[in-house]
Amino acid sequence: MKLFLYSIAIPIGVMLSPETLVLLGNSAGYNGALFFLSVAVAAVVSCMCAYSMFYLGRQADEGNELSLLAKVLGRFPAAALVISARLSVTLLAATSVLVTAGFAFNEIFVYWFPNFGFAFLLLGFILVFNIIDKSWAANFQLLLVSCILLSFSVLLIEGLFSSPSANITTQASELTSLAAAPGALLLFLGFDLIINSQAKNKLIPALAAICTIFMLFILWGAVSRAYVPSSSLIESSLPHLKAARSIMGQNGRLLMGVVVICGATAAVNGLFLYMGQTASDLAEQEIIPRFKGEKTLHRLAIILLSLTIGTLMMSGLAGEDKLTIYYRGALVLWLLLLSFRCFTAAYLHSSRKSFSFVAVTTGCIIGFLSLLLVTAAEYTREQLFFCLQVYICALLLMLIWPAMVKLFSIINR
Amino acid sequence: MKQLVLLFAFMITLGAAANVWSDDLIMDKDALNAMLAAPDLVILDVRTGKDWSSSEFKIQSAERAPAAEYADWSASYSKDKTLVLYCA
Repeated sequence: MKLFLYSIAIPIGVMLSPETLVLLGNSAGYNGALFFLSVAVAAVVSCMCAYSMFYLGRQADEGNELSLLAKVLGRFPAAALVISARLSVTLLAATSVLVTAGFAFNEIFVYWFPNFGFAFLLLGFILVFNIIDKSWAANFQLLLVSCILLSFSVLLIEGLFSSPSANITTQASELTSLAAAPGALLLFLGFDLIINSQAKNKLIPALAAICTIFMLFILWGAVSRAYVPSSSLIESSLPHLKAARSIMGQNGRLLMGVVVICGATAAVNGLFLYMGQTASDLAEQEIIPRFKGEKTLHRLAIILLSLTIGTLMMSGLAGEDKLTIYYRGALVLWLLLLSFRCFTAAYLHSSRKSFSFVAVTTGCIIGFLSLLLVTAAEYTREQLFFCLQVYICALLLMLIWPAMVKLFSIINR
Repeated sequence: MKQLVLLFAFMITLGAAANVWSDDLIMDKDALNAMLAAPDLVILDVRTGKDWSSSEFKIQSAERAPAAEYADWSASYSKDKTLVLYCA
């Protein structure tokens, strides 16, 4: 049971990041039936993807994410795809959500405390927990997710069992709602971040995480729509905070503040834990050196990530509009990685057993939706350029890295 | 030694001048509150990115004017208006 809870804490923490809450709140403002339908379809596609990756893929091969992709794409293109998708999301999401948490702390809890200072403090906490031991970080993750779910539950119960003070009736146009529907898939990104190697079957934790989040998002969407006018939800940059304030006033604001701060911390901590695993996978494929065992490698990866995120925050990236463009681009790379993982599972499965219709269909759906998300976005060219740039850089790094390691080892000798 | 003293004096004078100048340009929220009803007042929110979207506090009558695009919007306001810019 404990192992199961550890396994689902990372995906749930990442899926409940403040960025997702904004997307959820904005989406909830669109046409009612279409919102619920798009969230339900996104949940089904995510379940199909988890089934393809963790059941069909595992049936054919017991390897990790990187080794499975490497069998089809080749070692370096696979490593570049994993690195470009995972690393870009980790760096950009962390920069974005930590700054958001800083603002939440400053504006909701302690006015005199500088928001940037709090963002760095959170980063420091996550770094320390991950450096001490991975188990500390995993326990911390569990604590954070419990806090988020508890605060959310209080808000939901209050929202569901009390009635809104004013009759809220505004509706967005069908066309706008239809354009926003593919974005629902982004709400469930994170279900694939299951790292506990002792958990033989990763499918059950992934499905449990998707179902929990689906229930939570559907209920929160319904409550938000009942308490806040649709137009206000669509336009707001903090729709979750608006809904919480409408439900419980100042107490609701405080509870949502807890959700935002814990959500940001859980998202960054979860992504850090997964990146540690990715570093181990890269070492297993002999793309990076093993250093002094898995623990040292994890610590080294977390220190490098924290330093980069700190530099990005210091550079003022969070205060620039391009962060949102880059972050969207990184999410598209993540979707493409999932699509490739489905195709890989189908390929490996077909070579051993039979053709997998589910995996191919899911791969096509996710691939198509990711392209739709890029082309429907306001900054299509910038996003495409970002994705290409990141992938090419990762590929070059993957090609140069082994030579660099070899060179350093020769110099050290 | 004399040069050092002169340089020190110059630095102090420069610092004091900058302080007086900035005091004249920076206002607190009470001062802004007192002049909210003024007809020539234009409040410009120069925050962008997460600095703007993550903040719950936005002045309702404020217009968004990204600091990086200063050259584009600065000429569109007449000189008899009082422009108040606020950032993160």
